[in-house]
Amino acid sequence: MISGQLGSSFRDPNGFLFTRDGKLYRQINQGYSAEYCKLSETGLYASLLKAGLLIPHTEVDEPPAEPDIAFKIIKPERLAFISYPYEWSFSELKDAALATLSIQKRALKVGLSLKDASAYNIQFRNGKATLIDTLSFELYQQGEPWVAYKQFCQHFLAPLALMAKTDVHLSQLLRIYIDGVPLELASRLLPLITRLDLGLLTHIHLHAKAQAHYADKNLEPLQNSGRREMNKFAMQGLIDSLVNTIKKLEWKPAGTEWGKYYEITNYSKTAFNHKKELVSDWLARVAPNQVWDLGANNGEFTRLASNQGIVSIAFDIDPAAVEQNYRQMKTVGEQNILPLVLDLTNPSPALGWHNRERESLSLRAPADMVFALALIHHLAISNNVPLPQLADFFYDLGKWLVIEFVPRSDSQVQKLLANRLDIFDHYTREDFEEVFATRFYIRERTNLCESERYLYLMERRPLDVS
Amino acid sequence: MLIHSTPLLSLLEGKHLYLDPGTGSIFLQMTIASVLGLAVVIRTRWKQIKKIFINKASNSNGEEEGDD
Repeated sequence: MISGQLGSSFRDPNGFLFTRDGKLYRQINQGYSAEYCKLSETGLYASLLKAGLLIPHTEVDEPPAEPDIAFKIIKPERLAFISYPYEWSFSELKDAALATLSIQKRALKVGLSLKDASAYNIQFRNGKATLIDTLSFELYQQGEPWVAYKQFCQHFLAPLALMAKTDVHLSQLLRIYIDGVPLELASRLLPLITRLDLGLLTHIHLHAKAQAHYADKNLEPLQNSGRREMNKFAMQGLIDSLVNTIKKLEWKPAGTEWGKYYEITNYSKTAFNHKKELVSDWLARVAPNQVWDLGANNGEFTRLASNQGIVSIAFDIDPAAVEQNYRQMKTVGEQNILPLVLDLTNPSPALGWHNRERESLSLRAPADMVFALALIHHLAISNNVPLPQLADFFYDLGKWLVIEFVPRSDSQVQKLLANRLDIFDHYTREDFEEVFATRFYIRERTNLCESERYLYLMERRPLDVS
Repeated sequence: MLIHSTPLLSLLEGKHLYLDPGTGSIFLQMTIASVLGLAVVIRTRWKQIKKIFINKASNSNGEEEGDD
Protein backbone atom coordinates (compact mmCIF):
# COMPACT_ATOMS: atom_id res chain seq x y z
CA MET A 1 0.00 0.00 0.00
CA ILE A 2 1.44 3.34 -1.07
CA SER A 3 1.99 5.83 1.70
CA GLY A 4 -0.83 8.38 1.83
CA GLN A 5 -2.97 6.57 -0.76
CA LEU A 6 -6.66 7.06 -0.17
CA GLY A 7 -8.70 4.03 0.90
CA SER A 8 -11.18 4.85 -1.81
CA SER A 9 -8.69 5.14 -4.67
CA PHE A 10 -6.99 1.90 -5.64
CA ARG A 11 -8.83 0.06 -8.42
CA ASP A 12 -7.79 2.18 -11.39
CA PRO A 13 -4.38 1.29 -12.82
CA ASN A 14 -4.28 4.69 -14.50
CA GLY A 15 -3.72 6.61 -11.29
CA PHE A 16 -4.75 7.24 -7.69
CA LEU A 17 -5.27 9.87 -5.04
CA PHE A 18 -2.85 10.36 -2.19
CA THR A 19 -2.32 12.86 0.60
CA ARG A 20 0.96 14.32 1.69
CA ASP A 21 1.37 16.87 4.50
CA GLY A 22 -2.36 17.28 4.63
CA LYS A 23 -2.67 18.11 0.93
CA LEU A 24 -4.48 16.06 -1.69
CA TYR A 25 -2.77 14.99 -4.93
CA ARG A 26 -3.56 12.70 -7.82
CA GLN A 27 -0.80 10.66 -9.44
CA ILE A 28 -1.38 10.01 -13.14
CA ASN A 29 0.44 6.93 -14.34
CA GLN A 30 2.35 6.58 -17.61
CA GLY A 31 -0.28 4.37 -19.23
CA TYR A 32 -2.75 7.25 -19.14
CA SER A 33 -0.64 10.02 -20.66
CA ALA A 34 -2.45 10.00 -24.03
CA GLU A 35 -5.90 10.30 -22.52
CA TYR A 36 -4.85 12.98 -20.06
CA CYS A 37 -3.34 15.10 -22.83
CA LYS A 38 -6.37 14.61 -25.02
CA LEU A 39 -8.59 15.87 -22.21
CA SER A 40 -7.07 19.33 -22.45
CA GLU A 41 -6.10 19.33 -26.16
CA THR A 42 -9.68 18.72 -27.25
CA GLY A 43 -10.93 21.52 -25.03
CA LEU A 44 -13.08 19.08 -23.08
CA TYR A 45 -11.41 19.98 -19.79
CA ALA A 46 -12.12 23.68 -20.33
CA SER A 47 -15.71 23.16 -21.43
CA LEU A 48 -16.52 20.83 -18.52
CA LEU A 49 -14.94 23.28 -16.11
CA LYS A 50 -17.00 26.13 -17.52
CA ALA A 51 -20.18 24.10 -17.08
CA GLY A 52 -19.22 23.23 -13.50
CA LEU A 53 -19.16 19.55 -14.43
CA LEU A 54 -15.56 18.67 -13.57
CA ILE A 55 -13.37 19.43 -10.59
CA PRO A 56 -10.57 21.86 -11.44
CA HIS A 57 -6.96 20.88 -10.86
CA THR A 58 -3.48 22.32 -11.24
CA GLU A 59 -0.36 20.52 -12.43
CA VAL A 60 2.31 20.51 -9.76
CA ASP A 61 5.96 19.67 -9.34
CA GLU A 62 5.32 17.35 -6.45
CA PRO A 63 7.39 14.13 -6.13
CA PRO A 64 5.19 11.14 -7.11
CA ALA A 65 3.97 8.65 -4.54
CA GLU A 66 5.06 5.87 -6.89
CA PRO A 67 7.84 7.32 -9.09
CA ASP A 68 8.41 4.17 -11.21
CA ILE A 69 5.10 4.45 -13.01
CA ALA A 70 4.26 8.12 -12.62
CA PHE A 71 3.57 10.41 -15.56
CA LYS A 72 2.35 13.51 -13.81
CA ILE A 73 1.08 14.81 -10.47
CA ILE A 74 -1.96 17.04 -10.32
CA LYS A 75 -3.56 18.80 -7.41
CA PRO A 76 -7.37 18.67 -7.60
CA GLU A 77 -9.41 21.31 -5.82
CA ARG A 78 -10.31 20.03 -2.37
CA LEU A 79 -13.99 19.69 -1.54
CA ALA A 80 -15.41 21.19 1.64
CA PHE A 81 -17.42 18.05 2.38
CA ILE A 82 -17.66 14.55 0.94
CA SER A 83 -21.15 13.05 0.70
CA TYR A 84 -22.33 9.70 -0.61
CA PRO A 85 -25.24 8.63 -2.87
CA TYR A 86 -27.06 6.94 0.03
CA GLU A 87 -27.15 10.34 1.73
CA TRP A 88 -28.67 12.11 -1.27
CA SER A 89 -32.30 12.97 -1.79
CA PHE A 90 -34.12 11.82 -4.92
CA SER A 91 -33.37 14.93 -6.94
CA GLU A 92 -29.74 15.01 -5.87
CA LEU A 93 -29.24 11.50 -7.21
CA LYS A 94 -31.20 12.41 -10.33
CA ASP A 95 -29.02 15.47 -10.96
CA ALA A 96 -25.90 13.40 -10.38
CA ALA A 97 -27.15 10.92 -13.00
CA LEU A 98 -27.95 13.63 -15.54
CA ALA A 99 -24.57 15.28 -14.93
CA THR A 100 -22.85 11.95 -15.68
CA LEU A 101 -24.77 11.59 -18.95
CA SER A 102 -24.12 15.20 -19.89
CA ILE A 103 -20.41 14.64 -19.38
CA GLN A 104 -20.55 11.47 -21.48
CA LYS A 105 -22.28 13.30 -24.34
CA ARG A 106 -19.66 16.03 -24.38
CA ALA A 107 -16.84 13.49 -24.14
CA LEU A 108 -18.14 11.46 -27.09
CA LYS A 109 -18.07 14.57 -29.28
CA VAL A 110 -14.29 14.74 -28.91
CA GLY A 111 -13.48 11.07 -29.09
CA LEU A 112 -13.44 10.33 -25.39
CA SER A 113 -15.79 8.27 -23.24
CA LEU A 114 -16.38 7.65 -19.55
CA LYS A 115 -14.80 4.34 -18.60
CA ASP A 116 -16.84 4.20 -15.42
CA ALA A 117 -20.11 5.69 -14.23
CA SER A 118 -19.96 5.31 -10.49
CA ALA A 119 -22.14 7.57 -8.36
CA TYR A 120 -19.12 7.95 -6.09
CA ASN A 121 -17.36 9.86 -8.88
CA ILE A 122 -19.87 12.65 -8.43
CA GLN A 123 -19.79 15.17 -5.57
CA PHE A 124 -21.71 18.34 -4.91
CA ARG A 125 -19.56 21.42 -5.33
CA ASN A 126 -21.02 24.91 -5.01
CA GLY A 127 -24.49 23.46 -5.36
CA LYS A 128 -23.76 21.47 -8.51
CA ALA A 129 -23.21 17.79 -9.22
CA THR A 130 -19.56 17.57 -10.37
CA LEU A 131 -17.27 14.80 -11.60
CA ILE A 132 -14.30 14.49 -9.31
CA ASP A 133 -12.45 11.71 -11.12
CA THR A 134 -10.34 13.43 -13.75
CA LEU A 135 -9.05 10.05 -14.93
CA SER A 136 -12.49 8.76 -15.81
CA PHE A 137 -12.04 9.41 -19.53
CA GLU A 138 -10.78 6.85 -22.02
CA LEU A 139 -10.12 7.02 -25.75
CA TYR A 140 -13.26 6.12 -27.63
CA GLN A 141 -13.29 4.25 -30.89
CA GLN A 142 -16.30 4.26 -33.15
CA GLY A 143 -18.22 1.05 -32.88
CA GLU A 144 -17.45 0.32 -29.25
CA PRO A 145 -20.27 -0.22 -26.78
CA TRP A 146 -20.32 1.82 -23.56
CA VAL A 147 -18.34 -0.17 -21.00
CA ALA A 148 -19.87 1.80 -18.12
CA TYR A 149 -23.50 1.16 -19.13
CA LYS A 150 -24.04 -1.56 -16.55
CA GLN A 151 -22.49 0.49 -13.76
CA PHE A 152 -24.59 3.49 -14.71
CA CYS A 153 -27.80 1.47 -14.55
CA GLN A 154 -26.89 0.00 -11.16
CA HIS A 155 -25.60 3.17 -9.53
CA PHE A 156 -28.15 5.62 -10.90
CA LEU A 157 -31.10 4.29 -12.88
CA ALA A 158 -32.06 1.39 -10.59
CA PRO A 159 -32.07 3.32 -7.29
CA LEU A 160 -33.85 6.29 -8.91
CA ALA A 161 -36.54 4.05 -10.38
CA LEU A 162 -37.00 2.32 -7.02
CA MET A 163 -37.24 5.65 -5.20
CA ALA A 164 -39.77 7.00 -7.68
CA LYS A 165 -41.89 3.90 -8.24
CA THR A 166 -41.60 1.78 -5.12
CA ASP A 167 -40.34 3.62 -2.04
CA VAL A 168 -38.08 6.61 -1.61
CA HIS A 169 -36.24 4.92 1.26
CA LEU A 170 -34.86 2.30 -1.12
CA SER A 171 -31.92 4.60 -1.77
CA GLN A 172 -30.55 2.91 1.35
CA LEU A 173 -29.95 -0.20 -0.73
CA LEU A 174 -26.88 1.69 -1.91
CA ARG A 175 -25.44 1.22 1.56
CA ILE A 176 -25.64 -2.55 1.19
CA TYR A 177 -24.72 -2.81 -2.48
CA ILE A 178 -21.53 -0.87 -2.77
CA ASP A 179 -21.44 -1.14 -6.58
CA GLY A 180 -25.03 -0.11 -7.13
CA VAL A 181 -28.33 -1.96 -6.90
CA PRO A 182 -28.23 -5.31 -8.75
CA LEU A 183 -30.56 -5.07 -11.74
CA GLU A 184 -32.25 -8.38 -11.03
CA LEU A 185 -33.22 -7.17 -7.56
CA ALA A 186 -34.41 -3.82 -8.90
CA SER A 187 -36.45 -5.55 -11.58
CA ARG A 188 -38.15 -7.72 -8.98
CA LEU A 189 -38.88 -4.85 -6.61
CA LEU A 190 -40.28 -2.48 -9.23
CA PRO A 191 -44.04 -2.58 -9.84
CA LEU A 192 -45.11 -4.53 -12.96
CA ILE A 193 -46.45 -1.37 -14.54
CA THR A 194 -42.89 -0.11 -15.03
CA ARG A 195 -42.57 -2.66 -17.82
CA LEU A 196 -44.82 -0.38 -19.86
CA ASP A 197 -42.18 2.33 -19.78
CA LEU A 198 -39.88 1.62 -22.70
CA GLY A 199 -36.83 3.02 -20.97
CA LEU A 200 -37.28 1.11 -17.72
CA LEU A 201 -38.24 -2.01 -19.67
CA THR A 202 -35.02 -1.86 -21.65
CA HIS A 203 -32.46 -0.57 -19.21
CA ILE A 204 -33.66 -2.39 -16.11
CA HIS A 205 -35.95 -5.32 -16.87
CA LEU A 206 -34.43 -6.59 -20.13
CA HIS A 207 -30.99 -5.58 -18.92
CA ALA A 208 -31.49 -7.74 -15.82
CA LYS A 209 -32.55 -10.68 -17.95
CA ALA A 210 -29.58 -10.27 -20.28
CA GLN A 211 -27.22 -10.14 -17.32
CA ALA A 212 -28.71 -13.26 -15.76
CA HIS A 213 -28.69 -15.11 -19.06
CA TYR A 214 -25.03 -14.46 -19.79
CA ALA A 215 -23.81 -14.66 -16.20
CA ASP A 216 -22.35 -18.13 -16.46
CA LYS A 217 -22.29 -18.55 -20.20
CA ASN A 218 -19.29 -18.69 -22.42
CA LEU A 219 -19.04 -16.37 -25.37
CA GLU A 220 -20.05 -18.71 -28.22
CA PRO A 221 -23.54 -17.31 -28.74
CA LEU A 222 -22.07 -13.86 -29.17
CA GLN A 223 -19.53 -15.21 -31.60
CA ASN A 224 -22.24 -16.52 -33.87
CA SER A 225 -24.61 -13.62 -33.50
CA GLY A 226 -23.08 -11.66 -36.35
CA ARG A 227 -24.14 -8.40 -34.81
CA ARG A 228 -22.95 -5.18 -36.30
CA GLU A 229 -20.92 -2.79 -34.23
CA MET A 230 -22.45 0.09 -32.32
CA ASN A 231 -22.25 3.14 -34.56
CA LYS A 232 -22.25 6.71 -33.36
CA PHE A 233 -26.01 7.11 -33.78
CA ALA A 234 -26.61 4.05 -31.66
CA MET A 235 -24.31 5.39 -28.95
CA GLN A 236 -26.03 8.75 -29.06
CA GLY A 237 -29.38 6.98 -28.97
CA LEU A 238 -28.34 4.99 -25.91
CA ILE A 239 -27.32 8.07 -23.98
CA ASP A 240 -30.43 9.98 -25.09
CA SER A 241 -32.62 7.07 -24.05
CA LEU A 242 -31.03 7.01 -20.59
CA VAL A 243 -31.47 10.78 -20.26
CA ASN A 244 -35.14 10.59 -21.19
CA THR A 245 -35.79 7.63 -18.91
CA ILE A 246 -34.26 9.44 -15.96
CA LYS A 247 -35.91 12.76 -16.70
CA LYS A 248 -39.29 11.06 -16.63
CA LEU A 249 -38.74 9.75 -13.10
CA GLU A 250 -40.38 12.02 -10.55
CA TRP A 251 -40.96 11.86 -6.84
CA LYS A 252 -43.38 14.11 -5.02
CA PRO A 253 -42.31 14.59 -1.40
CA ALA A 254 -45.72 14.64 0.21
CA GLY A 255 -47.04 12.60 3.06
CA THR A 256 -43.93 11.88 5.11
CA GLU A 257 -43.93 12.85 8.76
CA TRP A 258 -42.00 16.09 8.70
CA GLY A 259 -42.94 17.65 5.40
CA LYS A 260 -45.01 20.35 6.98
CA TYR A 261 -42.94 20.76 10.12
CA TYR A 262 -42.72 24.49 10.38
CA GLU A 263 -46.42 24.89 9.98
CA ILE A 264 -47.24 23.02 13.17
CA THR A 265 -44.49 23.83 15.63
CA ASN A 266 -44.49 24.95 19.15
CA TYR A 267 -43.20 28.50 18.79
CA SER A 268 -44.85 31.83 18.87
CA LYS A 269 -43.52 34.21 16.26
CA THR A 270 -41.58 36.03 18.99
CA ALA A 271 -39.88 32.89 20.21
CA PHE A 272 -39.01 31.86 16.68
CA ASN A 273 -37.46 35.21 15.85
CA HIS A 274 -35.61 35.29 19.15
CA LYS A 275 -34.11 31.91 18.34
CA LYS A 276 -33.04 33.13 14.89
CA GLU A 277 -31.47 36.24 16.39
CA LEU A 278 -29.45 34.27 18.89
CA VAL A 279 -28.19 31.78 16.32
CA SER A 280 -27.19 34.62 13.99
CA ASP A 281 -25.35 36.42 16.79
CA TRP A 282 -23.46 33.32 17.80
CA LEU A 283 -22.54 32.58 14.19
CA ALA A 284 -21.05 36.04 13.91
CA ARG A 285 -19.21 35.58 17.18
CA VAL A 286 -17.63 32.18 16.40
CA ALA A 287 -17.27 32.70 12.61
CA PRO A 288 -17.07 28.96 11.81
CA ASN A 289 -15.75 27.63 8.48
CA GLN A 290 -18.35 24.94 8.28
CA VAL A 291 -21.66 24.32 10.01
CA TRP A 292 -23.51 21.02 10.37
CA ASP A 293 -27.19 21.46 11.10
CA LEU A 294 -28.49 18.22 12.61
CA GLY A 295 -32.21 17.66 12.16
CA ALA A 296 -32.26 20.67 9.85
CA ASN A 297 -35.63 19.85 8.29
CA ASN A 298 -36.04 22.24 5.35
CA GLY A 299 -32.96 24.27 6.22
CA GLU A 300 -34.60 27.34 7.71
CA PHE A 301 -31.89 27.75 10.35
CA THR A 302 -29.11 26.33 8.21
CA ARG A 303 -29.58 29.29 5.91
CA LEU A 304 -28.66 31.66 8.72
CA ALA A 305 -25.16 30.26 8.18
CA SER A 306 -25.13 29.54 4.45
CA ASN A 307 -26.49 32.98 3.59
CA GLN A 308 -23.41 34.39 5.30
CA GLY A 309 -21.22 32.41 2.92
CA ILE A 310 -20.49 29.65 5.43
CA VAL A 311 -20.37 26.11 3.98
CA SER A 312 -23.35 24.44 5.63
CA ILE A 313 -24.59 20.87 5.60
CA ALA A 314 -28.27 20.39 6.42
CA PHE A 315 -28.87 16.85 7.71
CA ASP A 316 -32.33 15.42 8.25
CA ILE A 317 -33.87 11.97 8.58
CA ASP A 318 -36.86 12.88 6.41
CA PRO A 319 -36.27 12.49 2.66
CA ALA A 320 -39.16 14.87 1.99
CA ALA A 321 -37.59 17.69 3.99
CA VAL A 322 -34.21 17.15 2.37
CA GLU A 323 -35.82 17.08 -1.07
CA GLN A 324 -37.69 20.32 -0.35
CA ASN A 325 -34.48 21.89 0.88
CA TYR A 326 -32.56 20.82 -2.22
CA ARG A 327 -35.26 22.10 -4.57
CA GLN A 328 -35.17 25.46 -2.87
CA MET A 329 -31.38 25.47 -3.13
CA LYS A 330 -31.62 24.91 -6.87
CA THR A 331 -34.38 27.41 -7.47
CA VAL A 332 -32.52 30.16 -5.66
CA GLY A 333 -29.11 29.05 -6.94
CA GLU A 334 -27.55 28.73 -3.51
CA GLN A 335 -23.97 27.52 -3.40
CA ASN A 336 -23.16 27.14 0.27
CA ILE A 337 -25.78 24.70 1.48
CA LEU A 338 -25.88 20.93 0.96
CA PRO A 339 -29.00 19.06 2.16
CA LEU A 340 -28.42 15.40 3.06
CA VAL A 341 -30.49 12.52 4.40
CA LEU A 342 -29.19 11.14 7.69
CA ASP A 343 -30.60 9.12 10.58
CA LEU A 344 -28.70 10.35 13.63
CA THR A 345 -29.52 7.16 15.53
CA ASN A 346 -27.93 5.13 12.73
CA PRO A 347 -25.60 7.44 10.82
CA SER A 348 -23.59 6.49 7.74
CA PRO A 349 -21.05 3.81 8.65
CA ALA A 350 -17.62 3.14 7.12
CA LEU A 351 -18.18 1.02 4.01
CA GLY A 352 -16.51 -0.69 1.12
CA TRP A 353 -13.22 -2.49 0.81
CA HIS A 354 -11.53 -2.89 4.19
CA ASN A 355 -14.25 -0.54 5.50
CA ARG A 356 -12.13 2.29 4.18
CA GLU A 357 -13.69 3.31 0.90
CA ARG A 358 -16.60 5.35 2.22
CA GLU A 359 -16.14 7.29 5.43
CA SER A 360 -18.47 7.14 8.39
CA LEU A 361 -20.00 10.38 9.58
CA SER A 362 -17.59 10.46 12.53
CA LEU A 363 -14.58 10.26 10.25
CA ARG A 364 -15.80 13.32 8.38
CA ALA A 365 -16.12 15.17 11.70
CA PRO A 366 -15.52 17.45 13.49
CA ALA A 367 -17.30 20.40 11.98
CA ASP A 368 -16.44 23.84 13.27
CA MET A 369 -19.96 24.25 14.54
CA VAL A 370 -22.95 21.98 14.98
CA PHE A 371 -26.59 23.00 15.36
CA ALA A 372 -28.82 20.74 17.45
CA LEU A 373 -32.02 22.76 17.38
CA ALA A 374 -35.34 21.23 18.44
CA LEU A 375 -33.56 17.90 18.31
CA ILE A 376 -32.46 16.62 21.69
CA HIS A 377 -35.88 15.50 22.89
CA HIS A 378 -36.23 13.24 19.86
CA LEU A 379 -32.98 11.52 20.69
CA ALA A 380 -33.44 11.45 24.47
CA ILE A 381 -37.13 10.61 24.62
CA SER A 382 -38.10 8.88 21.36
CA ASN A 383 -34.83 7.01 21.11
CA ASN A 384 -33.99 6.54 24.78
CA VAL A 385 -30.48 7.93 24.44
CA PRO A 386 -29.23 9.02 27.88
CA LEU A 387 -27.76 12.51 28.25
CA PRO A 388 -24.13 11.35 28.73
CA GLN A 389 -24.27 9.45 25.44
CA LEU A 390 -25.74 12.49 23.75
CA ALA A 391 -22.96 14.68 25.10
CA ASP A 392 -20.32 12.22 23.83
CA PHE A 393 -21.96 12.14 20.42
CA PHE A 394 -22.04 15.91 19.96
CA TYR A 395 -18.51 16.13 21.35
CA ASP A 396 -17.28 13.98 18.45
CA LEU A 397 -19.13 15.91 15.82
CA GLY A 398 -18.24 19.54 16.38
CA LYS A 399 -15.97 22.04 18.08
CA TRP A 400 -18.81 24.42 18.86
CA LEU A 401 -22.38 23.41 19.63
CA VAL A 402 -25.57 25.44 19.42
CA ILE A 403 -28.13 23.32 21.22
CA GLU A 404 -31.72 23.79 22.28
CA PHE A 405 -32.98 22.13 25.42
CA VAL A 406 -36.64 21.13 25.16
CA PRO A 407 -38.05 20.42 28.64
CA ARG A 408 -40.52 17.70 29.61
CA SER A 409 -43.27 20.26 30.07
CA ASP A 410 -43.04 21.27 26.40
CA SER A 411 -46.10 20.19 24.44
CA GLN A 412 -43.98 18.43 21.80
CA VAL A 413 -42.37 16.29 24.50
CA GLN A 414 -45.74 15.59 26.07
CA LYS A 415 -46.85 14.28 22.68
CA LEU A 416 -43.83 11.96 22.55
CA LEU A 417 -44.65 10.69 26.05
CA ALA A 418 -48.35 10.30 25.37
CA ASN A 419 -48.37 6.55 24.85
CA ARG A 420 -45.52 5.40 26.97
CA LEU A 421 -44.18 5.15 30.45
CA ASP A 422 -42.39 8.30 31.57
CA ILE A 423 -39.05 6.93 32.70
CA PHE A 424 -37.24 10.16 32.02
CA ASP A 425 -36.68 11.42 35.55
CA HIS A 426 -33.15 12.40 34.61
CA TYR A 427 -34.17 14.45 31.65
CA THR A 428 -34.23 17.91 33.25
CA ARG A 429 -32.46 21.12 32.38
CA GLU A 430 -30.27 20.81 35.47
CA ASP A 431 -29.21 17.30 34.49
CA PHE A 432 -28.63 18.42 30.94
CA GLU A 433 -26.36 21.28 31.99
CA GLU A 434 -24.48 19.15 34.48
CA VAL A 435 -23.79 16.36 31.99
CA PHE A 436 -22.87 18.60 29.08
CA ALA A 437 -20.59 20.71 31.26
CA THR A 438 -18.31 17.70 31.62
CA ARG A 439 -17.69 17.77 27.86
CA PHE A 440 -18.25 21.41 26.94
CA TYR A 441 -17.76 24.90 28.27
CA ILE A 442 -21.21 26.46 28.43
CA ARG A 443 -20.51 29.89 26.93
CA GLU A 444 -24.09 31.15 26.69
CA ARG A 445 -27.49 30.18 28.00
CA THR A 446 -30.69 32.01 27.06
CA ASN A 447 -34.33 31.32 27.73
CA LEU A 448 -36.31 31.77 24.52
CA CYS A 449 -39.00 34.45 24.77
CA GLU A 450 -42.50 33.11 25.35
CA SER A 451 -41.14 29.60 25.66
CA GLU A 452 -39.81 27.13 28.19
CA ARG A 453 -37.01 26.19 25.83
CA TYR A 454 -33.41 27.26 26.39
CA LEU A 455 -30.75 27.89 23.79
CA TYR A 456 -27.08 27.22 24.54
CA LEU A 457 -23.75 28.04 22.93
CA MET A 458 -21.14 25.49 23.96
CA GLU A 459 -17.48 25.03 23.17
CA ARG A 460 -15.86 21.60 23.19
CA ARG A 461 -13.34 21.02 25.95
CA PRO A 462 -9.82 19.99 24.87
CA LEU A 463 -9.63 16.46 23.50
CA ASP A 464 -7.46 14.80 26.11
CA VAL A 465 -9.69 15.83 29.00
CA SER A 466 -12.00 12.97 29.93
CA MET B 1 -13.10 -21.21 -29.10
CA LEU B 2 -10.91 -18.18 -29.45
CA ILE B 3 -12.11 -15.20 -27.50
CA HIS B 4 -10.15 -12.74 -29.57
CA SER B 5 -11.97 -13.76 -32.73
CA THR B 6 -15.38 -12.85 -31.35
CA PRO B 7 -16.70 -9.95 -33.42
CA LEU B 8 -18.33 -8.43 -30.36
CA LEU B 9 -15.43 -8.52 -27.99
CA SER B 10 -12.85 -7.74 -30.65
CA LEU B 11 -14.20 -4.24 -30.41
CA LEU B 12 -12.86 -4.09 -26.89
CA GLU B 13 -9.65 -5.95 -27.74
CA GLY B 14 -6.46 -4.42 -26.54
CA LYS B 15 -8.28 -2.10 -24.18
CA HIS B 16 -7.32 -2.16 -20.57
CA LEU B 17 -10.77 -2.97 -19.23
CA TYR B 18 -10.49 -1.75 -15.68
CA LEU B 19 -14.19 -2.21 -15.10
CA ASP B 20 -16.05 -5.41 -15.91
CA PRO B 21 -18.57 -4.18 -18.49
CA GLY B 22 -20.74 -7.28 -18.08
CA THR B 23 -21.30 -9.64 -21.01
CA GLY B 24 -25.08 -9.32 -20.77
CA SER B 25 -24.84 -5.52 -20.79
CA ILE B 26 -22.70 -5.58 -23.94
CA PHE B 27 -25.12 -7.99 -25.57
CA LEU B 28 -28.10 -5.79 -24.74
CA GLN B 29 -26.42 -2.70 -26.15
CA MET B 30 -25.62 -4.43 -29.42
CA THR B 31 -29.15 -5.80 -29.65
CA ILE B 32 -30.87 -2.46 -29.21
CA ALA B 33 -28.17 -0.59 -31.14
CA SER B 34 -30.04 -0.61 -34.42
CA VAL B 35 -33.28 0.54 -32.80
CA LEU B 36 -31.55 3.32 -30.89
CA GLY B 37 -29.59 4.43 -33.95
CA LEU B 38 -32.71 4.40 -36.10
CA ALA B 39 -34.57 6.53 -33.57
CA VAL B 40 -31.82 9.14 -33.65
CA VAL B 41 -31.65 9.17 -37.44
CA ILE B 42 -35.43 9.43 -37.79
CA ARG B 43 -35.51 12.27 -35.28
CA THR B 44 -32.89 14.15 -37.29
CA ARG B 45 -34.38 13.38 -40.71
CA TRP B 46 -37.95 14.10 -39.52
CA LYS B 47 -37.15 17.76 -39.16
CA GLN B 48 -35.65 17.76 -42.64
CA ILE B 49 -38.71 16.02 -44.04
CA LYS B 50 -41.02 18.46 -42.32
CA LYS B 51 -38.98 21.32 -43.74
CA ILE B 52 -39.37 19.94 -47.24
CA PHE B 53 -43.14 19.79 -46.91
CA ILE B 54 -43.35 23.23 -45.36
CA ASN B 55 -41.21 24.61 -48.16
CA LYS B 56 -43.37 22.99 -50.81
CA ALA B 57 -46.53 24.23 -49.17
CA SER B 58 -45.45 27.81 -48.65
CA ASN B 59 -43.28 27.96 -51.75
CA SER B 60 -40.54 29.84 -49.96
CA ASN B 61 -36.81 29.10 -49.53
CA GLY B 62 -36.04 26.58 -46.87
CA GLU B 63 -33.38 27.10 -44.21
CA GLU B 64 -30.40 24.88 -43.88
CA GLU B 65 -30.46 22.83 -40.76
CA GLY B 66 -27.43 21.31 -39.15
CA ASP B 67 -27.36 18.12 -37.15
CA ASP B 68 -28.23 18.15 -33.45
